[in-house]
Amino acid sequence: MKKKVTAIALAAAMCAASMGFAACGGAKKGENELWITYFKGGYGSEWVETLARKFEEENEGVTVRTDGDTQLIDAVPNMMKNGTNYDLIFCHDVTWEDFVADGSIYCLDDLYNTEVSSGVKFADRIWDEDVLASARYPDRNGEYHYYKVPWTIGTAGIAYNLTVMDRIDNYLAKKGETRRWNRTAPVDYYDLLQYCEDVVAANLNVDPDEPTSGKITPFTWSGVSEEWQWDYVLFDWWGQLAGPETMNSFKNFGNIDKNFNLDVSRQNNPDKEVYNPEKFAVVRNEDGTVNKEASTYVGWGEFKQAYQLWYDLVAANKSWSSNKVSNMSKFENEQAFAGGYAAMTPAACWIEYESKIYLDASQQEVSIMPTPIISNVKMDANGNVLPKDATNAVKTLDAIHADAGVTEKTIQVNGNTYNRVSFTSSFGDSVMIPSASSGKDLAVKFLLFMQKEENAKLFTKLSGGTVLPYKYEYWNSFVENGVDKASAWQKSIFEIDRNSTKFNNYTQHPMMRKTDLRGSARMTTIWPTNSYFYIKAWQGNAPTAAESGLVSYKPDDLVKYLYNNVVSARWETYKNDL
Amino acid sequence: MEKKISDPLMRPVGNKSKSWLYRHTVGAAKSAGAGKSALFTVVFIAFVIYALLLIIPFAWILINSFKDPIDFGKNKWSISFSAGFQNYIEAFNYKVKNTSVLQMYLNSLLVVGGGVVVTLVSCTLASYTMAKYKFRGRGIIYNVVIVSMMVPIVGTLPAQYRLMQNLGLVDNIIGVWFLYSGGFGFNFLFLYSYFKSISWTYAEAAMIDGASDFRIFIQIMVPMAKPALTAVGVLTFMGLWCDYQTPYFYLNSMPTIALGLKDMSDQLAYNPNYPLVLATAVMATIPILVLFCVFQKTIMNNMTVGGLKG
Amino acid sequence: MQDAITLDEVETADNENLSSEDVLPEVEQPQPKKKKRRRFRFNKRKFKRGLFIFLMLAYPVFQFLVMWVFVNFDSILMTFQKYDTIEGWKYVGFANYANWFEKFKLDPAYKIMFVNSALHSVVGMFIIFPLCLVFSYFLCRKIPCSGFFRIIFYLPSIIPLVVLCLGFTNMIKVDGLLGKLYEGFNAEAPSLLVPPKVRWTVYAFTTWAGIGGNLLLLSGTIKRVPSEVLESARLDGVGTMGELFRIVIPMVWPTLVTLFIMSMMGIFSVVFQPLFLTDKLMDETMTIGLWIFNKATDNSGNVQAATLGIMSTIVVAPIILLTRWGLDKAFANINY
Repeated sequence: MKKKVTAIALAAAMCAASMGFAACGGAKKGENELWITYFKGGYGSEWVETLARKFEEENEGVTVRTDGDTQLIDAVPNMMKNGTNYDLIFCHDVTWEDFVADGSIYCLDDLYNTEVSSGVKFADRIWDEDVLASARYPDRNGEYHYYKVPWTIGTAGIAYNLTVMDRIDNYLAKKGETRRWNRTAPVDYYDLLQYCEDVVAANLNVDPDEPTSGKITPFTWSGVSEEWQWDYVLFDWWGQLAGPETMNSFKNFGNIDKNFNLDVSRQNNPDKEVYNPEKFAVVRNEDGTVNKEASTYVGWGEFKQAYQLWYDLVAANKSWSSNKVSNMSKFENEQAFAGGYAAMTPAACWIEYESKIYLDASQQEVSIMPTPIISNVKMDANGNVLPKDATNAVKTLDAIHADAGVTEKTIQVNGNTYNRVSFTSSFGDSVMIPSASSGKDLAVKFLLFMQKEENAKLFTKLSGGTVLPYKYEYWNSFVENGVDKASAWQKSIFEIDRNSTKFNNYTQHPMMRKTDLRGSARMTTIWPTNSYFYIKAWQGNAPTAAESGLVSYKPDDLVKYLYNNVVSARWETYKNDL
Repeated sequence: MEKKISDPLMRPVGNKSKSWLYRHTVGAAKSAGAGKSALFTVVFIAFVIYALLLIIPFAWILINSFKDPIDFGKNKWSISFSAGFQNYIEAFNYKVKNTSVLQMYLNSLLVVGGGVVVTLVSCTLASYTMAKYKFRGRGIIYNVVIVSMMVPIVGTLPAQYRLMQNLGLVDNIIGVWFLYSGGFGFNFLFLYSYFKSISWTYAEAAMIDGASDFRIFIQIMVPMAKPALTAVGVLTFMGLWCDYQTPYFYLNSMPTIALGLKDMSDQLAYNPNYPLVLATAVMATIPILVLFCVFQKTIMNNMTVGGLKG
Repeated sequence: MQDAITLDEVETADNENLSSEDVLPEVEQPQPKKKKRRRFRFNKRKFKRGLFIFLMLAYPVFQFLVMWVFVNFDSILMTFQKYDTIEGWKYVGFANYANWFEKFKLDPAYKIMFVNSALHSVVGMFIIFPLCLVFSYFLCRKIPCSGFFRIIFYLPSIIPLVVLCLGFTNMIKVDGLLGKLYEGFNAEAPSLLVPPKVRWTVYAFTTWAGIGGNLLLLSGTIKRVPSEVLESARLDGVGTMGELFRIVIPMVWPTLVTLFIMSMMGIFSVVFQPLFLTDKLMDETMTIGLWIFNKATDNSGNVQAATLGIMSTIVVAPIILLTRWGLDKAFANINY
């Protein structure tokens, strides 16, 4: 009897303890409390904690709770549909548009109409009209309202290890050649090829004192989970060849108005020819500028050329990438790059901050280069890239030249002036207020607080250089007592943002949002059904059984397969889902 | 005096004066039949290889859980204790989805403990009644249950989620317990057979003394079924402890250790402290291992007595 | 204590464990010479028993009705619906089924999904299950260190899948155990976590982790085979393999059939393995279960998932039932 009583008492005590502790996880929200949940990733937590404390100082009696979650993207739909205590949600790639029809996302029209300073509304503070338009969505009656605040303007390109570059220069100097690089990034495509060749020729050990530490390769990248980061480079080249207008036309399936924005009245009639690799979106004048009258802005020809450039750089030179590429996870890749195992890696602006632990350990320095310009790239009849000094070129690939007299957001290379473009990564990063929030006023107040010059700079500084989508002097975010303490990486990010025309792949076209064409991607995708082929192309294996009809991953075969077998053949089933 | 066991499958492995190793290797081989030693040797080698293939990954996880991230990155195959128990200490307080690992442990205990209780109660009620009482509709219920187990109906997850949403049971521990409290399934069959094997004479004797059906159930049948209930309880505990799908869909705000471990693993992309994840993996596995080791014999014996027979 | 009774004996053994009152012969009472009137006689004992049975079964039956009957019914209904963000749920007839036929025709990725699922079932039936049977038999034959092996082999069944995948992937990576082995031969380790080999990696994983799944049950079942039968067979000169195939298997046949059928259901039960091994969804490793899991809470994908499930059930269920019927006929049921 005694044993029974003891056992029951013990079990009851354990239950009570468990329930008590478990209940601790679900704290109650008080009045004057602002709860913020944010994606805890490449931007870190320091920015939100600092801003939260500052907000509390400026608003007496208010308490701000901040909870970071690396998997927030998975929790958001549940939170929006079933209610949440959070007032502000900062998340990447979230499909906030899905929450408009059922009213679970709060309308922010009032916020955008709020005057933040004399004669200036919140809406006027947004980066540009394109970014502003991305925050609007039609309600059930078809009227457009603001439902989100864009979170970041991301920049991407090719990250390069400055310490490795120094070692390459030292090698060249030892050989009796001039130090070619001097911590300056390759400017055009042939420069990039040259740098890769220098890295290979140098044949340096990762650890100079350890012969078995492996050789430095030109590239490292994560073939297991992050191969899509090559998109950053590919899209920049595509933008250079076809212009941001073509990107706008492509993502809207040719249903655009004269400003290259989505024409809603035509969106039920998408044009699949945007995927046709035999068609070129733009027609060039002799001076390399775009003939705007002759151009249809519909076609995938330039995309194929951009992929060709990637293929000839990476896939055709298999040994230029680390042999562990097909096994490396995201963090293993960052570790390898920060540890000096490779000279370059495709990256976006947050990589330096994410790799801090490895950079601190390895004491190496990194930067990010603007994607090299396609300047006079020679090609043979099959579209393969030829060396710079080749004399048998059949075609020359060139980026779009800037119109006469245009000097802003251009770049001079080899005597030509080109339009300078930069793909915006992280365009899907959004800030939302759930309708179920009990602190909407405080949430709106926080957003107004965040857009202020000093607070926006604070975000940029504490997030490692990420830029908010407001008009502010982000390039001065690291200036202290007149001294600019930004790293080489951060300076490069700011330089790219200031001097490039930004473009993105965000669209509200239902063909992309509602159909299988999007695949599993949360944001829109350029590759049909969100399939990626970088690692497969690099490995050089035959296509898999799931790719029946694909001959090889070479550019010509791949884009033809995508157009014929993935897009055209299934076009009607996609349209059925509209 | 040593108990004589006639069953050749249970024959003792040899003279106890020999060493443990001898008795469990050569002696065992001899007792199994010297003529068959070649076959047994081959099988033994295959078993050793397979066992190594199972042990090495977990040994690797255990060893690397004692390293710091830089050390781990340099060499994943070295034996070093650069972080000592620091990862384990950190793991307890490490937060995933705003929940510490310690909290996740407690969530798991609550969810799984409650799940085991409701499963046992529901299965016992159903299996005892079906096994011991004849009533109208018994055959229908039984046949429907058997058919439901034999016919694999898939794709009900969306409908289940929709139902749980409509009932307001998403992100609610009651909802999870409700899902776990199915009275008909493998556990039902197991307990049904076990109750069938218990003689009714005990109940008859109690009835003569004036006991009600309920009293017979509680005071006679359940205690007699304790071994089977223990086996079912332990197996259910182990199964629910590792359950990922149900907490993923229905208990997001109270992540269990199985869910939390996956989230930690996903977080590696942003917080590359791999040894910390490995330490958490070890911690998630220990309760199950301990439970299994303690109850191994009970599970095995009762799977034989009341379980599906040959 | 009475031996355990097989499922097949249920219908024939109904009278064994009934209360004494239910089996007392009816005694004919002398009929009163009065006008015959049917009177309702309230039997308190029977009422109490009925109430007891009702209360005992109320919750389990209710839960079953809700979570199996209703959910399956709703799942079928769902296959005829579509969710519109403005209008909500609406009926669309057989459009979802037609959609699936089109997808299947046009997209090889869906064919791969079915093939993967079917292959998982085949691996389960013809590799994992036979290995489990052989392992169980030899463990029962007291192979040296059998107790130790039994625990080790059963471990994957009780360890969380995430932990299993962590261990497995780190072994097969280029810098893992496999990589070290290849290094020893100066060869380059294959990339097993990306296409095209990743598909086979998933099969290898399910085999590696699945052999011990039914070990306890099979060991226990084999142990119950009467020793006299085995001794007698050995005296007649039956060897080890003969004993396994000609005596043990026929005697434990019903259990084997049940477990074999459960292996067949592996066509649907492989859900998280591909996802946890590769950390992403891939056409090459997609299975029916994983596809349904992925789409379960998606507003437009959930009806597709429900439709896929029903279509799969319609195809697979008869095969499983037929297989079971056929296998049951293979050996006569032996009572012991």
